[in-house]
Amino acid sequence: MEEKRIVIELKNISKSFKGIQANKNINLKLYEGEILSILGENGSGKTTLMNMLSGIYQPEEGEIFINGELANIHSPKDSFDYGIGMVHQHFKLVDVFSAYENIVLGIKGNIRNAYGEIQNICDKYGFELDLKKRIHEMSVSEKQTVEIVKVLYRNAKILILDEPTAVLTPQEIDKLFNVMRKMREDNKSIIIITHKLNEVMAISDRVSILRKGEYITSLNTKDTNPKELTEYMVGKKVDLKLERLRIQATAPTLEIRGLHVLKDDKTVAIDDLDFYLRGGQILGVAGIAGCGQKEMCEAIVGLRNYEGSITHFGKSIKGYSPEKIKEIGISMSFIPEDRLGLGLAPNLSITDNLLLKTYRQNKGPFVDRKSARDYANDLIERYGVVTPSTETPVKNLSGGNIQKILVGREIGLKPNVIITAYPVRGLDINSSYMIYDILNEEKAKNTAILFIGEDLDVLMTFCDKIMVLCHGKNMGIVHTKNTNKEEIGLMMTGAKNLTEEKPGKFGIAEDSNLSSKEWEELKKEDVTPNE
Amino acid sequence: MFASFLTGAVAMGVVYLFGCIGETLIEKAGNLNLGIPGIMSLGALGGAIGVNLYFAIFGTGDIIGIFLMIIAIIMSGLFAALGGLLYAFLTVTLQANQNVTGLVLTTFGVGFMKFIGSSMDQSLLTRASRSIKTLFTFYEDLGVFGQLFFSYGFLVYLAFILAITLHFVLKKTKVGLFLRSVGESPQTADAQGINVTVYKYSAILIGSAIAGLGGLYYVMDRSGGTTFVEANIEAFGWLSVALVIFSMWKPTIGMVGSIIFGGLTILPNYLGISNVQLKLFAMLPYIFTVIVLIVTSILDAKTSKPPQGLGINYFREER
Amino acid sequence: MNKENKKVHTPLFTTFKRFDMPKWQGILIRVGAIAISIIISLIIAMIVCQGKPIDIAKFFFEGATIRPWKLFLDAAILLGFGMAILPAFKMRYWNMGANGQVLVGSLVSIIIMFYLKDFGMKSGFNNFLLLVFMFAGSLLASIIWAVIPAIFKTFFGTNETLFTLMMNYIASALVAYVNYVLAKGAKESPGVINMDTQTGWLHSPINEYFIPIVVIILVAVFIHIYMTKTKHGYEAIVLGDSINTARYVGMNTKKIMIRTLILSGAICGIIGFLFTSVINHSINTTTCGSLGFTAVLIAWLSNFNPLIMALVSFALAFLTLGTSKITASYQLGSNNLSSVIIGLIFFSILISEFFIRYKVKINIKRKEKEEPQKVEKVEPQEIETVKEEVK
Repeated sequence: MEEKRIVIELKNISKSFKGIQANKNINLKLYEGEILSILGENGSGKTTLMNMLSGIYQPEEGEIFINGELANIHSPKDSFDYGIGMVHQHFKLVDVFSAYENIVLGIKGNIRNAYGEIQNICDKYGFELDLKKRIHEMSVSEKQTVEIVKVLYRNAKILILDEPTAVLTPQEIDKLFNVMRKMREDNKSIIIITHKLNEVMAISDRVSILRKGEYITSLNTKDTNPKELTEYMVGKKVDLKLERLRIQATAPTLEIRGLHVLKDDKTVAIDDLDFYLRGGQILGVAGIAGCGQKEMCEAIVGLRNYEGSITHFGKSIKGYSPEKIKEIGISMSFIPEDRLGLGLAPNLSITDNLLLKTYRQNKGPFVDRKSARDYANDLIERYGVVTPSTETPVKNLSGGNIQKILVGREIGLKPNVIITAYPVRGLDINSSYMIYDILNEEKAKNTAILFIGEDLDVLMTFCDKIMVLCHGKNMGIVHTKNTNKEEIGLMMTGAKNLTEEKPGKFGIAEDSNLSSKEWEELKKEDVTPNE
Repeated sequence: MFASFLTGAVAMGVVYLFGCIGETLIEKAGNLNLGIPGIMSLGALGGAIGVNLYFAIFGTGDIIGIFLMIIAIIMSGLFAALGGLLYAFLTVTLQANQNVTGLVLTTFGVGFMKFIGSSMDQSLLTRASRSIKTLFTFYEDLGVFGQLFFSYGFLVYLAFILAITLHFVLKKTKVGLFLRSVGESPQTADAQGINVTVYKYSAILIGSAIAGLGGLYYVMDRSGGTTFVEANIEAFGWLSVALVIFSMWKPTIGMVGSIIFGGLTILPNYLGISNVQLKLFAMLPYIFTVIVLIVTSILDAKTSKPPQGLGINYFREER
Repeated sequence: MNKENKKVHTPLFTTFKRFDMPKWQGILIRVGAIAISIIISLIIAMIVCQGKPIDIAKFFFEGATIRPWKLFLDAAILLGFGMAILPAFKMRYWNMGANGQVLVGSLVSIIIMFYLKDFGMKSGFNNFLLLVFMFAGSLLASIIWAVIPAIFKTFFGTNETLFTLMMNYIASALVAYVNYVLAKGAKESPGVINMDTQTGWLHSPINEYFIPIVVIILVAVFIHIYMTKTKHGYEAIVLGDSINTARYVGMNTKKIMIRTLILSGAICGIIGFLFTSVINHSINTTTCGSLGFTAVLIAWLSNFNPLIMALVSFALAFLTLGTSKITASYQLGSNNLSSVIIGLIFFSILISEFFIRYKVKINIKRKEKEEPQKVEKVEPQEIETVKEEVK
């Protein structure tokens, strides 16, 4: 290491928002030709720190040295000039532009020869990219490729990748890592932000750890192990083991057969899906983001037209209004990327948000806020929601508290089916465990739970079974104790399809509430989609 | 008859075309400017002041058309751009709501034009107008062809030149690409080192100046310098904004659309109907606009989508 | 790079969102902004009118206060327009068409008043019935005018801002046409309808403007209760805040939107009826002036608070009457001075909003700490918020 040159050095960097520290006295070194992981939980200040290198934010205190010289980065342009390129977690791409147009965006000089030059870069690193394709027609991994090529075209010597693997399949991750290694051979320095330990171990030379905005330490990857890293990351020893509650499952609560759902743009979201949920059992759903999970949830709770049959305790719920479906005990909480878009009204108070599903229950034209306020106080206490009052707009709460309110509200409806998508999205470990505990409590009460998740490790340990979706098709349903991550990963990409290997076996309960004849009749009734 | 109708349609449509080009440029930078009626009013006022200024400088003798034109255009553009500057300062720098700011600008601009304009000498405008209404004096020798293509004043040609220029700039140049990226996704543009503030300000100022020429054109050319204070420039402004939607943010379609809008505005005068019916038929362009709004929303084609960042202010430290 | 360069690179000022401004400070800033803009306007008036400041001020207050009932009426009408658009705006529906909606309401009741004159003259009860017809006609017409754009908005997502604006001009053309017809083509307008018999006129006790003022105050109270206490109002607010959430919790968004616009239209209908039966007994294309726009601005910048809206409406009515006296006294020929002043006032409010929402830090001496850190003052829940946001 000694002979290597330091390309970036951060000294005592501090940054605060609303007067509160996000980064505090951070010191960091990046050497030439190395891959450095920045590890930390969500909210530990990793992205903020990197955004100061990319010119999005300015540090309030401290100094940045690049190639040994004091640097002033006041805008993304300054950052490029220093040879720094950042691939943001939320891609910074213009949807209606082509890949080419996105890549040349902001280039100062002549762009007449750009097309060929970009093509050369693609060839050199082995990117398969159609430069004329528009971004909105691309897959997530293609978009990421555009981002990386964009940075390379700017001759970046230093690349910062912010959680690049969050949206990729295991196979795509391997591909990305190969590209990163090629770039390292090219003597480029790479920073990868992540909170996944296995990736740190797999790709990086060194790892720096942040916790709650503070710099903890830097280690050589080969001298450390996941357990040690976890301790640094969370600050105290935590048991990584998630609890899987083992209880006797009931007969099927919700049975779904031959489900077809379309997306908004009329393309197929869910294609001929069979599955069922049992009380006291958690069925996990694995799949790349955007391969029909949302549409499936919406169909079940009556928000989207579908073909096929959905039965609840043996009774078809097709054509029920969302209101009616809620009344019979099916509840859904979907946490979108921005957390607030679905299920919560950001500018309304906690009380008003809790009322969303129950305000119709009392008689008369007026909203009963008084009992809602009592309920809000109750919920705040039970789940430890941190808030000044029940009248605080939910957008002013932290992500964890917002999610507690949403999940708490849904569970407060005393459902017999819980459909929950990404309930721990963006939460720190403690908050995540709180949510898992809540779900386990419900499971113990014989509630059927459909859990749509991102993190395979969590799905593997927390759920009883996992259903894998790939482009809206069921790739198979497996008991978590009989499978492994590699198998799930292959199924997610469609490389392995258990339903083809063992046709007819998946998603059909042996002890179904309906006989096959009754199912046939349901199918016949299914001519016109509901409202 | 038809030729004169068509000529009239073009001549009327140019009022909308100026407004449409200006607003297109502004919307391409991601700002929805509902202040266009006010800006056009300010442009009209500025033009009128420019004319007065000309007579103050060069005296009231024979009119030197080119100087008159230059001074009028500069003053008109300047007044309109000042309105635009206010709008840009409020929405880009001070992050004020774009719709509300636009409405305030409209209220202010229309009121200001009428307030100042009402105490202005109209006879000078009428004189000035006569000298700029036709650019090519030879058009009468060319018959219908001449009437259709060469019977207009300088500003008409300027409008079409500007439309084609804007089309070229947006479609073919780097500046146009960068500008569109600011309107589509300012976050992206910013991250790519494009100065969002500079692009937005430039687009708003230039767009406002262009829209303001629509007011100047109406006062000096189209209306023949008659009492512009009573002119319904406000309505022209709203129709211009609607024309932007009709044109699907494409200046080339805007050129055709402006002739259609212009034609509908003057159509009642060519129908040979009574004064009473004339009042009723005055609603034609508005009804057409409503139909356009409905049809475009039903079609909802991918190509007719407004810039994605339209109407949303960009504040860098906010994510 | 050396230290000299550093200074060049530093932007002149940076802005931060602020969360800690006390309420009174915000009010003070707004009031100050309004005061400054009024002073600027009066200076402009002084220059244009070339009058003495004392005269201008005298005319201003005289004009505003000489007819107190008129002042209250104007304020009430402005408030009424504000109440008409408020439910729609809470739903983030840009109803710019209050003018047109009031106009068609007023127009329909004018037509009824004109053609049923003989019926109304027969007896006191018939006159009452006539008023009922006029009211019903006005209500219906305004509701239709408000609901048409709403239907297209709900089903096709048609841009309601421009749609409602166009509906204003269509209404205006209708008014011009009907006036011509009623005047039998002889004049542009028949003027005051039923001047001789006063059929279809609603007479107020106490003062001629008493009824409209009371009615609009009642409307304002109703709207306030509707928006803050009822399920309907709650649904509209949720819809405005997040349409996806409204759908997710099973609200019928189309029904809510159209229902709310029916309410908006109904209030416009009430105002239209009052215009015809009590206030004007006539109609022309400028009956509504720019009330609809001004009401939008008032509602928006009062943060939809009915009490503040009432105060601002009163202030603007005061200004308008005052300036019209100034312009009349100096024979300026047009009363657009009030639009100029209203424009300036709202500009300054918009500017002041910025200083209420954001904190500006001027970076002249970067190395020195300009402000003490506020970390110790911050409550724990806020710390959590920030941590999540900076993720």
